[in-house]
This record gives sequence, structure tokens and C-alpha cells, in this order.
Amino acid sequence: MQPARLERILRLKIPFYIAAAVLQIAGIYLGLLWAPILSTGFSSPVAQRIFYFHLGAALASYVGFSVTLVGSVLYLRKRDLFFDSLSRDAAGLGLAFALMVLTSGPLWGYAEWGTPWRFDDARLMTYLTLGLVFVGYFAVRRSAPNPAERARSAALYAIVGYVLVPLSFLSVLIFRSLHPRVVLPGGGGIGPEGGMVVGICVTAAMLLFVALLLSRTELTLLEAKIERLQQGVEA
Amino acid sequence: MIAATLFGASLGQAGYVTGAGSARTAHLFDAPNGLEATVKVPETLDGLSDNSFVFTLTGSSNTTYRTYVVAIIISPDSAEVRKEWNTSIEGPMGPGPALKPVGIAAGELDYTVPNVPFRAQLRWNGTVLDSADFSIDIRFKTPPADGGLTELAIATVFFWGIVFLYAGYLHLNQRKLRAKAEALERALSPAGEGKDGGRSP
Repeated sequence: MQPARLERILRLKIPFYIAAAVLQIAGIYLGLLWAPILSTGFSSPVAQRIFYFHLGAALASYVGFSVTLVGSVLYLRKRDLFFDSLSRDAAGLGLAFALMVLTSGPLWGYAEWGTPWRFDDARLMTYLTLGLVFVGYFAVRRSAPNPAERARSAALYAIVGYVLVPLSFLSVLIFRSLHPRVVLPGGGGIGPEGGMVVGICVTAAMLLFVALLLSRTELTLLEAKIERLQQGVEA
Repeated sequence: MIAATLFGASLGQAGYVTGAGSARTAHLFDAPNGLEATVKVPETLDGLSDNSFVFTLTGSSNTTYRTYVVAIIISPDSAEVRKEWNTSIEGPMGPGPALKPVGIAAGELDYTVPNVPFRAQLRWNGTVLDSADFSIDIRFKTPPADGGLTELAIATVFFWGIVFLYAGYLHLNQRKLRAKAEALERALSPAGEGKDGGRSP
């Protein structure tokens, strides 16, 4: 990618941070204090509010893994290491959001079901497997000897591993599971106020994802610049 | 299910299930007597509450009076955990419906397990006339006194902790790398060399 164009994109980081912060604060207030408590169908109605952040984080993790896929395909087509860096950064960010999902979900499960995890639940296990596959993505990167080989094997691994993203997303419809459907067909629904809070929290999570990805990309560019400068000094 | 819907009634011994969520309904038949029994079984049962399954027996013009037994069975094929609740119900003479509930008392399903095998059954005179097999999710949890406020608080702290840790990691690294890049640029530039040269022996 052209450096000037990239610089212009990276300058959008601050507006994204500001918009994400405003919506996150609104989401915290509305999600924790304002949204009505859903007592029907939930034995722990207060813990149900975890859902507002849980869903946003889950969708942001899917976006992260999707950016990894796009970056991987672009790398294989153009052999530009920038796309490899983008894939790596998006995968790392996707894993950070996945960690939020995998901590908030079991906490809610403990309050609602009395157990934080069920290894025989397809919905939970497909998401955990997805997370582990992307942990494996970093293991693949570490095992390759040189940048080109590393980028190629990581891109191929990410493309194959991405199959789990749609499977995880649709698992709640495909498999029988204790995991609630809530906003999907056959789910209980959350009402108009809850729907508005979900919209705000999901948008906030997406903006936060973009802001953090831009920051991470900036850091990657700095690392590359230092490497060039060090080569200059050594020469 | 489509095949069962199309052929179920005519085949007789072919109970099937329609609907999803809380509207899921099992259909059972006594075809020779022109009778259909239906019962709503939601996909998720709350073990803390009483659960009542109302069987509705609907006859036809040639239906004759019979005393049936309707049953719901959890884990029907597992001798160790099999549990059955049943009741007898006097079927209608003719088309008029007859209703009777089969109840599971609160606390009898004291576990949280998804996909528990479940069977609705229609019997007469000691013979199984029809069954419908499917599965249910069972939830059993004494609700926390605070409604899950503790879990919500911990989840919120975890969530924002991860965000701030990640953002902090990026910010600190950027500062460190920027300083390093500036130092390297100074070292490479002629002015930087001059300054450094002045301090060096």
C-alpha cells in the first residue's frame, strides 16, 4: 500500500477513538443502568446485561478474523508483506475480543446455568475451537524461518481456519444448544430498548476495533521503520 | 419432518414434532381409532419451576371411547437415568377433545444439561401406540440473590481490563518505538553526527 495513503488512513485513528469512547460510555450507562431487566426466561436477570458487551465483542472478533482472511488472500495475490502484517494484527485483535467473549460468556453461564462451561455444547465449543485455531495461527507464524515463508504459511492456515467463523456464527441455528438465541429467529427477543442498547454497544465495539487496529498498524509501521533505520546505522 | 408431516398420520406408528422454541409440539396417533394426541414441549425446561405438559386428545367421527395412558420420558434408552411421568386420560367419544396435564414438580430435574433425550408416548391397554422422540435442554440453577450482579461486575471489569491493557500496550510500545526511531534518525542525520561528534572523544 502507498505510504501517503496509509498515513491518511492512520490519521483517522483519533476520530475513531473519540466516537468509540462516546458510544462505549453511552453503552455502559444504557446497558448497565437504563435497559430494562429481562426477567422472563432468565433466572439471573441482572447478569443478562453482560449480553450487551458480549455480543459486540463476539461480532468484533468475527470482524477481526475476517480482516485476517482478506489480508491473507491479498498477500497471496500481491505478495506485499503489508497485508501479512495486517492479517497478523487483525488476528491478534480478534483474539483479544475473543478473550472478552470467553470470559464474559462463562461468567453469565455461571450465574444463569450454574455452570460456566459445557463441553458437550456445540455453540460454546465451536467458538472455543475458533479461538484456539487463531492461537495456532501465531504458532504457525513462529515456526516459519523467513518472512516470505512465514507470511505464506500463515495466510494458507488463516484461510483454512476461517471456515470456523461462519460455522461458529451459525452454530446457534444449526446445533441444539443451551446458548440462548435472543436476537436470532426462534429467540426470545429483547424488546425495543434492549435492541437500541445492542445497536449502540455493537457499533461501539466495531469503532473500538477499527481504532485499535489503526493503532496496531501504526505500531507495525514504526517497527518496520526502526528496522530500516537500524540497517542504515549498521551500514 | 416434512415426510413425517405428510405420512405420519397415515402410517400410524409415527409420532413427529412440529414448531420450535416454546411452540414445539409433539404429535402422536392412534390411527385405527382415528385419534391424535398433541402436547407442547418447549426446547428448554427450567428445573426450578413446575413443568406441566398438557396432552390434548382429538378424535374423529369414528373414534370410540378408550382410556389411554400418556407419558413423558426423559432419557428413555438409558436404564440408569430413565425417568417417566404419566397419567391416564379418558379419550373422547367422537371428535370432542380431551385434555389432561402431566406434571414434573419443581426440583425433580435438578441438573443443567443440553440435548437430553426426551420421548412423548401414547399407550392403550398396556401397548405403546405411538411415540415421538426429540431432545430438550434442562436448566437448573438456584438464582443468585443479587440476580447476577457479581458476575456482571466481574465481567465488566474483565472486559474493560482487556481493552485498557491492549490499548495501554499499544500506547507504551508506540512511545518507546518513537523514541527509538528518533534516536536512530538523529544518529543517521549529519546534524546528529555533529552533535554526537562533539561529545565523543
